[in-house]
Amino acid sequence: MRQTVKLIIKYILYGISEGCTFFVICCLLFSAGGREDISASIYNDFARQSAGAMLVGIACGTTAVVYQINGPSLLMKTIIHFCVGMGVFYPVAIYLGWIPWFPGQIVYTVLQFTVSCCIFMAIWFVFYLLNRKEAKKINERLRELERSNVHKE
Amino acid sequence: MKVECKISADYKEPYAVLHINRISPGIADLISMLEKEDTNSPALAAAKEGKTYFIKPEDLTLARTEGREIVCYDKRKNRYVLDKPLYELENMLDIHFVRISKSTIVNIRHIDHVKAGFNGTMELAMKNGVIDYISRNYRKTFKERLGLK
Repeated sequence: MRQTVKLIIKYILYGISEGCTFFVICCLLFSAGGREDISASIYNDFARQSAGAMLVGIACGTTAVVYQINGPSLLMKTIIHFCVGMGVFYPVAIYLGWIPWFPGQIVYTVLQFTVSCCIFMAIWFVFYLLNRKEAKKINERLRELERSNVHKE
Repeated sequence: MKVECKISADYKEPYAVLHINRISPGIADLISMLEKEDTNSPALAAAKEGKTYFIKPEDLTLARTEGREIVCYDKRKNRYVLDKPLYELENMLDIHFVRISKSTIVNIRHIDHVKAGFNGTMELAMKNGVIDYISRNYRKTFKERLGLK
């Protein structure tokens, strides 16, 4: 129980640090890119904006703790991670004005949501490609070790 | 490979130091052999259905925390409950065992394959069909133990 609490606290801190890092990088990019209008709107609403970034960080980063739990399948864990991440990111992003919101235009809203999901999935796909390359190298090494063990036996 | 042996009555216990840049399969075998020479590879006491069995470390495929129990699986996927914490097990087991997460130790010789996940995770499948995940924090150590950089 104590270990579980420690693990959750560690992941919450990971999530907060991820959210804060992303927030600072975005601010830096807006500032460096000469978008003082966006930077100013963030600074004027700093408390809510930074709290939103932390919340999204917790939702996306902390829920990765689900992969440490034995039981549910990888697909189920991925679905949980995705749904919690998107479930928090989307309302927070609309509330804080990170993405535009037009309640009267259903098609636009659906399209916007689909694009957000696609961005999320594209990020995951990049991770998958990197991971797949690494997994291939590990599997080759495992076969190598296996062959050398068979020869010895 | 150059081998240097120092023989002296001053050494109460044999002690080996290897100067290497990676662990090759041959070196891994040598380390395992030397460790067995010293410890005589103690069998692990493990419980299953009220009976106690003694499992040789080489037959052990994976040990992990499941709920409140520390369990291990053998080649035939038989599940046993251990009475030792993982860190103690890790110290007892030889070079063929590596920790892949805070809750799991695996025998490298019994790994079937690893599979990439969509979210940065890596699934690990043992030859007996047991599945686990390599945590991001332990991936580097895992790769190093395989002799990968």
